[in-house]
Formats: sequence, C-alpha cells, structure tokens
Amino acid sequence: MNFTSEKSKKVITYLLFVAPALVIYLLIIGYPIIKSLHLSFTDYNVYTNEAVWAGFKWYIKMFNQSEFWMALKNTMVVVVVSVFGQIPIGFVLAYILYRKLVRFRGFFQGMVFLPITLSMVIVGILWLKMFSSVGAVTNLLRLIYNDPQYTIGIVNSKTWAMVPVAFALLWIYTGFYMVVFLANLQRINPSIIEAAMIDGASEVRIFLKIIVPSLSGVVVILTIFAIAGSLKGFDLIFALTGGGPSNYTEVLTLYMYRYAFTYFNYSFGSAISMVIVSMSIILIILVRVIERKLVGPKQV
Amino acid sequence: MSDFVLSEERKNVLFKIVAYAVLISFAILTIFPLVWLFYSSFKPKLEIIRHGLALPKNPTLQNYVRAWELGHLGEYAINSLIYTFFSTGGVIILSMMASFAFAKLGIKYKITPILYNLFLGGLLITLHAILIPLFLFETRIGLQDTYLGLILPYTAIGLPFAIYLGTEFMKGIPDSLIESAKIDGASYFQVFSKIILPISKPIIVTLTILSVLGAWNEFLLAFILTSLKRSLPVGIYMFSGPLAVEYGMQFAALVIGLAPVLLFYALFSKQITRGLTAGAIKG
Repeated sequence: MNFTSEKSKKVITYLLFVAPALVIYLLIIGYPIIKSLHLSFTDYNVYTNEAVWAGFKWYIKMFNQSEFWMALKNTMVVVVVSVFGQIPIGFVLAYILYRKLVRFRGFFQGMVFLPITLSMVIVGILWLKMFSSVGAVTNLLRLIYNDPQYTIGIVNSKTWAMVPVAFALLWIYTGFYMVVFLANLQRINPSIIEAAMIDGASEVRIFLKIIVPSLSGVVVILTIFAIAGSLKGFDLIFALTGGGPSNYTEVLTLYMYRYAFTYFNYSFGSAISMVIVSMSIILIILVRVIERKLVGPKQV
Repeated sequence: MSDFVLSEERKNVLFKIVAYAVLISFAILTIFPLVWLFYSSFKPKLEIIRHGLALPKNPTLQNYVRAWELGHLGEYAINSLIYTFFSTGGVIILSMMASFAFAKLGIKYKITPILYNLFLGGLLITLHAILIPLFLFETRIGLQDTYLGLILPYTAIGLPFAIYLGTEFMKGIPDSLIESAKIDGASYFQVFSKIILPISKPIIVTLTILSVLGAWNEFLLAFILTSLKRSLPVGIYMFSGPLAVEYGMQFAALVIGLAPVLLFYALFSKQITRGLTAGAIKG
C-alpha cells in the first residue's frame, strides 16, 4: 500500500473540489468588493478605465449631502419597522398558533408566510397599484369616507410617504418571523410547562419565566436578519415609490443606485455602497455585543 | 370554586375569539391584494376605472393576450428559466463539492478554516457592494447581456450560504462510512457521488428551493446586467412604466409574474417554508 500516493490523491481531490467554487467566488464577489473599496477612494474615468487617487473626497461629499441623511433616516425607518414591527407581530401570531387556540393552523401559517416567496419587484408594483387611483386601498377608503373622488394624500407628504412602504414591508416579512418563532416555541419541552402548571404557576408567569427566556437567542438572530435585510432592501421600494416623491422614500440602496446608474458616478456610488456594508457589519457586531451583555457568553 | 371554573372557561372563549380574529384578519390581509389583482386582471379598462372593487361584469382574456405579446413575457419567462436552472445547478454542484472537501477531505488542513471563513464572509456582503465593479467588469469583457453573465453571479451569490449549510451537514456524516468505502477500493469521487450526495439529499432539496426562488425572483442584477436577455421580473418592471395607465394589461402581467411561484408554493409550501427559514432555525 502506497501511503504517500493515497495522501496526495486526497490533496488533489481536495483542490479539485474546492477550486471551481473558489474561482467563481473570488471573481464575482472577492475581486469586486476590493475594487469597490478602491473605486470609492478615486476619481474613476470609465472611458479610459483610469482611477486617480482622491482620498476621502466622496465620503466627505456624501456626509455633506442632505440626500444622504434623508436616505439614512429612511433606512433607519425600515430597520425600526422590521425590528419593532415585524418581529413582535410575528411573535404574537406564532404564540397564537403555538397555544393551539385555533384550528386550521397550517392554513393560517401558509397564508401569512406566502408573500415572502414572491418577487419583491412584482409585489412593489402590486402595492403601487393598490394605493393608486384605481387601487383597492383607495377604493376602500372612498367607501369609508363616502367620497368617490378621494385620493391617498399621505403618499405625497414628506412625513407620511414612508407609511405605504412600511405597510408593504410588514405584509411581506411578518410571516417569516412568525415561522421562525413558532419553530423555536415548539422546541420548548412541554413537560417543563406542565410541571410549572402543576406547581400553580399562572399563564403570565409561565410566559415570562419559561417562554421568554428560551427565545432570547432567536430574537438576537432575528434582529440580525431584520437589520441586514433592511440595509440590503432595494427591489420593493424601487418598484413601489422609486424613492419618490422627491426623495422622501429614498433609502441608502436607492441613493447608491441613483448616483451609480443614473448619474454614472461610479466612484461616489462605490463610496455609498461601502457605507452600507460597513453599517451592516457594525450593526451586526453591536447586536452581538448587546447579546453578550444581556445573555452572557454563548456556551457552544 | 365553580365561579372560578366558569370565568376560566369564559376567558378561554374570549382568547379563542381574539385569536381567530387576529389570524383571520392577517390571512385576509395577505390574500386580499392577490385575489383583487387576480379578478381585476379580467376586467376591461373602463370597469377597472369605474368600479375598482367590483368583480368583472364582462370578463375578458384580452389583457392577458396583449400583455403577453407586448411585454414579450414568454421570451422573458424562458430567459428566467435558463437563469434559474443553470445557476441552481451551479450552486448545488459547486457547493456540495466544496462542502465535501471542507467537511471530510480537508478537515485537518490548515487552509480549510481560512477558505471556509472566506466563503462565510460572503454572507455579510450586500449585493450593492459588488454591483459597480461587476457591471464594469462584465461590460469590459463582453459578458454583459449574456446568459453566462447572469448565471455566474447568481451562482457565486448562492455559494456562501450553500457551503455553510452543506459543510455543517456533512460534518455529521460518520467518517467510518467513507473509510469502509475506501477500503473497498472506491475513489474519492465515487465516495462523493455514491455516498455523500445521497445522504445529503435533504440539504440539497433545501438549497434547491432557496436557489430557485432566489434566481427566479432576483431583480437588481438582472436589471443592471441585461438589456435584451431580460428576466421575467425585469420585463414586468419595464412593462409597468410606459403602459402605466393600461391597468388591465398591468394586472395581467403581474399575475403572469406571480403565478409560477404561487403554483410552486402550493405544491411545496412545507419544503419552501423550511428552506427559507433554514438560516434562522438551527437543526
């Protein structure tokens, strides 16, 4: 038996099996991410393909633009709606299903989960139609107000323009959080709850002392999902409002898109994309730190 | 004591009513827009404008016929199928190979954790951070607006999560299975195709669902990287601009865009639900 040849066979197989994935990954994700970082510090000329070092020029420009702060504010609205809207509502729905208070649980779960499987662009156009003058929302409000000429004003108001966006976001994602919570609730050992009931613990006490602590880990994971997803989100708002009216609903991803692919300023666009990535990494680390403070170090 | 029992029962009934009310309103809220879209798509334009909520009085298929032709939706649906099929195949094959290498062949190699974490780092990257260089790069080498130009990015984007799930899963496959096959004279490739892949079937199903939905629904990359070889979501988005007042056609186009996924969900809702939440639910 030739030991070395067996060993080298293993090494060769290893390399052959990793190489295709690695090459594509480095080419499509590795190289562009470094190139983005590089472009964000240069003046890039697309015709000559020359990038001249420009330091922090684009970052300084960005932080001095009111558009940036508007987009940041709207992105934070999306984060808040996700973390403090989708997660709690998802939990309430999951808890109702978990307590087996109703029948047809599979049907309800299937319905509420459905929107997340759909194309966000198509969903965005659908909600645009829903809020338009021929839309169902407008027509329902016309019935309620008994005014056949009623149009939805909030869409054009600076303060309220994000409301339809928030509504669509809740419509889409709440089911996801519901399913994750439900799966984790179902993992709680029923005998612990039974024992507590025999000991005479009240519903509220069981909820606070057994159920809530067992979900703290998953709340952290879901918060990370919500933050990362909110910072990435593009399709829905792009199709629903396009960032308008003016840029009242523009989030960071749309802001980046506008500068890169409407004004063709690739360096500035790259700088914005770097801010988005940094924010998502910082927020994720922050959530982890808070988790460690609250829950204590993970025992793995 | 009987008083107590009664109030307890009443409380339960009350809870049940509230529970039903909450769930029924959420279910209605979810399906109503889709149902409204569906029946409205059969209405002539005037009915849509005058009676926005009513069911169609004179149902017509014209909206579908015209949307299908004017929007080139058939052509875009075929493009979408091509993008979805090949990128899903790419993600599955490449991630399973790399996972096998990481979890079984090179578990002791010093390079394994480095490469593995390199892939996991991809989970933190947002699409926007690679968009500009990818667009410039593809334009320069002529990959833009080709099938490969979109299949490659879709594959690459699917890899980090697929490799993560695949590697964690394969670590649980006992080494003795591989060793005994090796003693029987099997090559590593045979071990991979005859033992590892069949055992990994549940994870492959999950990844296939994720990848199919991801590629079929993807918008931004297809929007930027294609001009003629559009995918269905891009085609429908482009269709919504200039013909915005052709409500009936718009609705028909949206229904055409949503129908395949709704059908897919109706058939595999359990697997899809499990697949899409796989990242957040352990085990």
